[in-house]
Amino acid sequence: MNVRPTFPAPAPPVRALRQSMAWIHAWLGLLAGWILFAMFLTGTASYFRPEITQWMQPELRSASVPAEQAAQAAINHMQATTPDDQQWFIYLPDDRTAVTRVFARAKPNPEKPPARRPELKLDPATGQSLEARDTRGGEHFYRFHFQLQLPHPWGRWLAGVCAMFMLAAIISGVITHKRIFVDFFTLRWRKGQRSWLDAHNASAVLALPFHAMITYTGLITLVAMYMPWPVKANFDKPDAFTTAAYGAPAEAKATGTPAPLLPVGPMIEAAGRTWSGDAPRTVVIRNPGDAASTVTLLRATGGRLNARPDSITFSGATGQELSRSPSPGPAIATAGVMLGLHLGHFAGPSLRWVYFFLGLTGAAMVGTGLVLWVVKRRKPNAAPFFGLKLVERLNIGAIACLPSGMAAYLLANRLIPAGLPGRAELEVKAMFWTWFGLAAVSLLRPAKRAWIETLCLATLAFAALPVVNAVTTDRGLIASLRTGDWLFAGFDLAMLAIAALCGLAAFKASRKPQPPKRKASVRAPATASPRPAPVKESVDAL
Amino acid sequence: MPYESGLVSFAAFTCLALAMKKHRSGLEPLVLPSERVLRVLGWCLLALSAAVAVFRLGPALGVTVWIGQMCVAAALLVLLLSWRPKAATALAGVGLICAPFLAFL
Repeated sequence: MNVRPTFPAPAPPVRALRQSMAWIHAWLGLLAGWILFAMFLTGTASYFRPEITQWMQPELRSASVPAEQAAQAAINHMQATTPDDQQWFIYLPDDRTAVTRVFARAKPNPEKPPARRPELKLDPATGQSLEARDTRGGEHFYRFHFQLQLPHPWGRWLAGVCAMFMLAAIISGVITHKRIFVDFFTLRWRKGQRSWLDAHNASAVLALPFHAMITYTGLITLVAMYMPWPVKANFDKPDAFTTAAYGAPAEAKATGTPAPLLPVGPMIEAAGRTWSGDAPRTVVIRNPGDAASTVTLLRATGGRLNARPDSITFSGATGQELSRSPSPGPAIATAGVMLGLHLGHFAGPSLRWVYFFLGLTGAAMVGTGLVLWVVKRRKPNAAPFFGLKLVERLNIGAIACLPSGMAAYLLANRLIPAGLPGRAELEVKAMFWTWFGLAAVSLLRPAKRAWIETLCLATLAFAALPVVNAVTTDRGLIASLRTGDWLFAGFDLAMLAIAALCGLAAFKASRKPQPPKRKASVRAPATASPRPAPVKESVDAL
Repeated sequence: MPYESGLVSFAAFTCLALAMKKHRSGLEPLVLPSERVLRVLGWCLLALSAAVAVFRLGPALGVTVWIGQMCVAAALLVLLLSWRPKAATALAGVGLICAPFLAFL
């Protein structure tokens, strides 16, 4: 598409700029597109990370407990079981997580390095240890969307390169799109290439603020990894930068003198007074039972754009406040807000759904762009060349097979026995085997049939989820509707909605494209338009 | 359900779309105001949707919520307008009427 023999005359500068931008847009978008589609889809699912985790551990039921009670119950449990640990990291439950989660670290022992201890799940009210099936839950989609299941640091680097391509594609796309306002509300169905371009433009332009924000903030979140040199040039050690940016952590050496840990309730109350009533999200206890023990409270970030939590550290033995995080400077506050905008943790339920739909428009933008690349280059009367076939097959694998993989991950959660060792890894394997296996099998079918059949399979897989959930647990759709369990009911209904969406896509893919009849179009009468025959020109723009 | 900003911007975008010649057909029994009136009304409603969100949630969260809901409203409008233009117009009216009630829920 870069060489256009029909325009031999020297192009005017604007046209040349648009054309070179179109070239950049097409190729950057293509190269990063398949990974970007997966990043968008799994990242969008990650807005419901705690909800997915809850759904994947149906044994656990949420109970609303004040932060003081949950924290004290967890501490009591830890003191009764492993009082000699070096550190307890306690994630308190909130309206989105049902259980208290504790990560405990034993004292370093030179003779015998301690085995890595798994996360503990505790009943928020009683502190009793809870048993639930082993799963990575929503965390898997979240991790995949920026680590791509590759070893560190390659996954993050690849995700970063794709995000940079995405940012460049957004900018070049805006420059090359010459009818951005004229075609602002335009979407024409069943017109082949025209429709794909309309859909690509609409999904990109209408949610442009979100696409630009999510791409840029995603890059910025890992910017210290992608561009480590400013920190290296100004600080001797990375720790020095962390201290300068976020304040020194209160790390006192254990004295060896035993002293009881004071109740945490008054500390949480004191922190609440400082934080205008906010509860802590996390409680970190170092050297419990020692005279030098500390209790650090990290503030919940819900409702505030800045995702970096304030913290206050108390002495565990005397209850006195030892230190608190410095009020952030403009740079750190900006970084925190950018992270917050990307993660969307501040968003309540209504805004979370807005985020979710915007994420879907992002996936739609990338998907339609990938399809458009093929549709634009396909000649009606010639056999497709190798590159075209390759791109089309990769499109099928990336766009139509990934949803089945994600559904397989959720199905595996219900179908793999709850007590099977290593089941969390099996669930993850189920996703990738289904995704790539389906992509491989689809090679055996003609491209058009492959689209339809893989999309039908995705429809079936998502429609099966509520059924399998109802059969394997006592929290099926009818039961959860009856008991008012809105998380489970909402999840099942969302799966049915996604199944309907996949089914619609399969149905649309199975329809024959309308022959390009030039009957007087109702929507855009050529005679009434001030600029006649804009069709070819704007199709060329991409 | 704090979606009133999105409902107002849905109506705003409907006005702006109907102010364009190519989106005015297919609505025959409906008598539309002139393009100029619709365009001014659309921009005013868009400003109102921003004001609603900022008034309710403060500047930082308000602007974030406004932009997010505005984008979703525009995407939904374009989908609906391409499929059932009359329904889109009707929904804009209904949404605009419902928005003040939602604001007080």
